[in-house]
This record gives sequence, structure tokens and C-alpha cells, in this order.
Amino acid sequence: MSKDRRVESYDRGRIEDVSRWKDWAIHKPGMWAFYLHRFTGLVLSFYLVMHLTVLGTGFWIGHGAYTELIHGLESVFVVKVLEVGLFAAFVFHALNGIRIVMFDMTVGLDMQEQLFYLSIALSFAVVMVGVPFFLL
Amino acid sequence: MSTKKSNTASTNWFLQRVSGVGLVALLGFHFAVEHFIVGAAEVTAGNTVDRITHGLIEGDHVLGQITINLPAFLYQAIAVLLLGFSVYHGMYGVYNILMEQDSLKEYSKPIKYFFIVFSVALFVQGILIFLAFFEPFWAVYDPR
Repeated sequence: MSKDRRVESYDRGRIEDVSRWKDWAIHKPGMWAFYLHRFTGLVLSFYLVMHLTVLGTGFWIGHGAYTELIHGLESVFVVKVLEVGLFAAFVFHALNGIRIVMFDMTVGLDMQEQLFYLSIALSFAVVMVGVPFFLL
Repeated sequence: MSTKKSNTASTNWFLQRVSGVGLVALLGFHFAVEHFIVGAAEVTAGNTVDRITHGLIEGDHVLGQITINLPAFLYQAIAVLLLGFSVYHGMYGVYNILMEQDSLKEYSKPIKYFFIVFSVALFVQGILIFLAFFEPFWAVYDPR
């Protein structure tokens, strides 16, 4: 009928019967974008609290404690790998966030799926560029 | 009453978008400085103080020797905005996720007040850390 995706319908049954957390088969890219945005948002929020608490406390105690804390953490390879994960979470959350704001302004509604794939591809590219900065 | 509530909700929704767009730039800047220019392993209390009090960003990481001298007030404004936007965006985001869970709806008020108090506490903690970068506060804990 119409090529406009805004009028596309899909019978998911009554809204009360559908849980976002089950029936994975019906999930479309938009739902994966939703999950990923949520997951990365929770990761970043958790890290924000940890960041302000741990580094802040170190800085408050004194110069030496702060520098030692950072160097101690950065000497652990797993910490560096986790930082890449944190960066990846930020990059995807930011790009998908821009995608959401675009939709709020009714821009790109016809290309929701393509823009999701674009945000994934761009995130991957940016993170790959960033890897040496975190691991070296 | 309902109008007031919907006004608050739409204001919060709008602020979530504004803070989100702001964070793309602010957090991008934070990552660029701390990880791309300076390098996390090279961060010390000394160069952190240089950045926050003089706007002096100096690093010798993957890109080589880089020195950027921003006006101190600009770097400080970025730091405080980054703190405010990230606390608001993060905590309001988590609060919204919790409020979507039906089982938590009956506790919506205590959860809301918890998040307000927790967010304010987190912001104040950040401001206290920010103030600790400056000499008079700093000297109390660990004189240079």
C-alpha cells in the first residue's frame, strides 16, 4: 500500500498481553535499539556514580592518593578493556540518542531502521579508532 | 493538578533531550581530553589541577605532544555543566526505567524523592570535588 513506514501495522495482540521482556521473535530493529539504549544508559549511570565516588574520594584525600589510585587502576589490563567498553557504551548511546532526538523533531522517521544500523556501524568505527588510545 | 503534572513531565522530557544533546559534546570533550590527548594512565593530580585551574591541557599520548590552553573559566564551565547534565540525565533516565516497571508504580513517590535527594547529593559531591582542585581547599588536605 503505502511506502510510509509510519502507517505500517503489525498485530502484536493487546498491549496488556505483550511484555517487552519476552517473545523475542517479534522484536524489530527499533526494539533492539531500545534495549541497547537502555543497557548502555544504565552502564553509564552506574559508572557516573562510581566515577564521582572513587576518583572524587581519592582526590579529596590528597594529591598522592589520587595519582596512586589512577596509576594503580590503569596498571590493570582488564580496567583498560572495561574503559573501551565504557567508551563504546557512550558512543552508541550518543549516536542513538541523536537518532531519538531526530525522531522527536520528526526528522528521519522513514529511515528508523537504517539509522539504527548506521548508529551501530558508526559506533563500531569510532570505537575501533579509539581502541589504541585506551590500550596503549 | 493534572495540567501541572503534565507540565512537569514535559519539562523533564525536554530537559532530558537538551542535557542529552549537551552531553554528546561535553562527554565527548571529556573523553577526548582524558583519554585521547592526556591518556588515562598519565593523569595525575598535578595535571588535573593544571587543567581545572588554568585550562592547560597537555598530553603526550598516541597523537604525540599536544598542548591546548583554554581560558580557565571555559574549562571550569565545561566541568560544572558536564557534572550537572550527566547527573540529571543519568538519574532521570534510571528513574524513568524504574517507573516503567508495574511492580514499582505503588512506590513511585518514595522512589522519586530518593532520586531527587540522591541526585542533589551526587551533584554536591561533584561540586566539592571541583572546589578541591583549587589551592585553598587543596592545601588543607595535602599541601604542595
